[in-house]
Amino acid sequence: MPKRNPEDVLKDIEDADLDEEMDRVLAMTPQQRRAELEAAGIDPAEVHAKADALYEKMRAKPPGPIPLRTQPNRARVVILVAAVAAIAALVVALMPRLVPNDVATPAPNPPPPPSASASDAIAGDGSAPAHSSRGAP
Amino acid sequence: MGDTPTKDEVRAGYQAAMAFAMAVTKSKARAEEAVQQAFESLYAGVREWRRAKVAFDVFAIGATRSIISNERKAKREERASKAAEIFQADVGTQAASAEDRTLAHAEEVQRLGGAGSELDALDASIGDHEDAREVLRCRRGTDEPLKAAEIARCTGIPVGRVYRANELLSDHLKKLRARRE
Repeated sequence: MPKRNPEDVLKDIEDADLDEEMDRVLAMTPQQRRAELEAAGIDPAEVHAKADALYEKMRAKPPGPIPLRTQPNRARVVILVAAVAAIAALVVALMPRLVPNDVATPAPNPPPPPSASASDAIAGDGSAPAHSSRGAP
Repeated sequence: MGDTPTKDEVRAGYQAAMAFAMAVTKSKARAEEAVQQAFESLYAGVREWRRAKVAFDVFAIGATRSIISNERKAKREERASKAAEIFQADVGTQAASAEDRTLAHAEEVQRLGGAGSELDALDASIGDHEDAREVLRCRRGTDEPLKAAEIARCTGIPVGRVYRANELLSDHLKKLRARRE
């Protein structure tokens, strides 16, 4: 038979009195419980007053489902998914600005050879440009 | 969604829970605090009570038991944390080498009482109390927590004597820890 963890065994020993007292009090009648409390110096009227105060609290806020652990978890998941989607959209939108131009855009083609008129304009001193086909024999 | 107890059920439940908590804590203030927390856990929605499943006074005692057990657990963890701090302060910085530190750690763990060695010490402290020895052997040999009636079946000892054996084990454990601290 597999053995229990030593820490668990120690906990069982420490809590053994809880189980014993629980069994004992459960076996008592309401009158016996009342008598025991009186013997311990506790006024039954005080016990009733405190119980009634708790009852009023319960009536004001009846025990309900446990949204504290379930609903917020769902809400958290929805918020998390929405946040991830928003971040992803932002990254996609900003990508062209974030990446340098020489990486994002292809290298430009070599410039076309200048046209004759442009060459003429450059060679305004009257000499024929070296690359001009007009001056060739 | 749980059921809402009637006023009479709350009175009976509060009285039962107080009787239980007083018997365990021996303190009116601590008992009231534990019972108050147990009831708060009900109307805060942490615990649910269903009339068809269990009587409200049984539920109230169970909830109070849980609160007291959790308090004890917190104290145990605090004690373990303090022991770890003592080790860090006393041993961790003084040992010269890794091997020295390991050996010193092992000695310190033994001195501070790891759970296993604590159980061994408890076993040794029982002396010739056969019922307590049998109860402890039964607890160490099973894979789940056992109620007194189950231990009685496991050991063949009457339930009343199992209760007394549990008390003796608990008292010895407290004394061992008090001596160590």
